Amino acid sequence: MEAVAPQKTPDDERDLIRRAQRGDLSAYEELVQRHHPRIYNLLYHMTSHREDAQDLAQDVFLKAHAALRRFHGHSSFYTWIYRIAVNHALNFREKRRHDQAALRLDDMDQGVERDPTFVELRSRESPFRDVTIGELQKKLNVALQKLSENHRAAVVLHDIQGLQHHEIARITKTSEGTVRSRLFYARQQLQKELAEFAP
Amino acid sequence: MKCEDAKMLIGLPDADPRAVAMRDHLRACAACRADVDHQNNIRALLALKRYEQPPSGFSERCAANIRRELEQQAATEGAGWRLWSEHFGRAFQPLRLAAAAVLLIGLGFYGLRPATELAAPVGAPASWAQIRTESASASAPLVVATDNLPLLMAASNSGSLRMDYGPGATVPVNFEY
Ligand SMILES: [Zn+2]
Repeated sequence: MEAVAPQKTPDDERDLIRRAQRGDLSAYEELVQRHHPRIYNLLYHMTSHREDAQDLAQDVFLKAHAALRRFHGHSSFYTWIYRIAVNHALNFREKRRHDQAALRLDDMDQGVERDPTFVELRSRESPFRDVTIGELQKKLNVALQKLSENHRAAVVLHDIQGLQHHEIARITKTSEGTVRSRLFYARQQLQKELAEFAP
Repeated sequence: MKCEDAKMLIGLPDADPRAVAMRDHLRACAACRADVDHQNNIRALLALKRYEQPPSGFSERCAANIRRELEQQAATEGAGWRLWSEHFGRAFQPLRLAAAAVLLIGLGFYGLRPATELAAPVGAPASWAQIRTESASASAPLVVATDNLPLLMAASNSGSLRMDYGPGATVPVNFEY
């Protein structure tokens, strides 16, 4: 499960950033290791394609390295790198591959079977009772990919990655009101697509 | 509060001043309560996607790949510069030698000046006429020399700047060319 994002750049990270800005590649590698899981997950949920997400994540960190001298610490490093990643994902549309390649189910934490939401949905008198995790994953990804890029970014950042409205507003350079509006319309559209699972 | 406004406030933190009016509206409006339920169901469904994670060690491998890529980029840039200086640098060899010769001659000339002149205090030029420009092409740096001191100064080609002639003597100079 993903942890809630840190609000400030920790001191040891500030040191890593300073070293990386002076050309220390070991320091930059450590920064990448710290932020890659969240950035990769964001890009994976935005594309529903594990290889696309891997390529995009690599592009994001190469781009960030090239721009690292321009990072002055006015925002947290986490917000800065997230902003690069979201912009990259929003501009990805043109190059999009047409197939979907979700993370393999054996890569999926089997904890989902014990998740209270999953258990509760399974207990309902609905088609959810008979659906496999694989089918559910596929349906969710198809529905997500039908959303506009901005709406998908909002639900990925909020409902999947657990960021708060004000953090999403900062990352996507918009107002909290716009974030709430995007979330409302995105979920409304998803509700139509997934009505059988989320009545 | 209207329904349209209430929909846009779903998920508002409790501390927000509008949260009270929102709760009042929900108590009175079944349609908005149904909307909130739908929204929460979708939220719960999407949250299940948090379980989709890449295999362990994946991020470490990606970070190592990114580092290798950066090392390669640096090596390519370094090799490019070496190639450039090996192949094209030769063409500029006579130019570099000429520049070195001019510098040596200039330094030699300065060194041979009478000791009294060298010991003279450095001051601001008495008049504008004492500043002469020796080169003023648009692309080359401007070289300014004064009659009473061996000052060579390169300046950018726009705007005005202040030129220092020693302690307490600063003369504004306009360069417009
Ligand atoms: Zn209402």
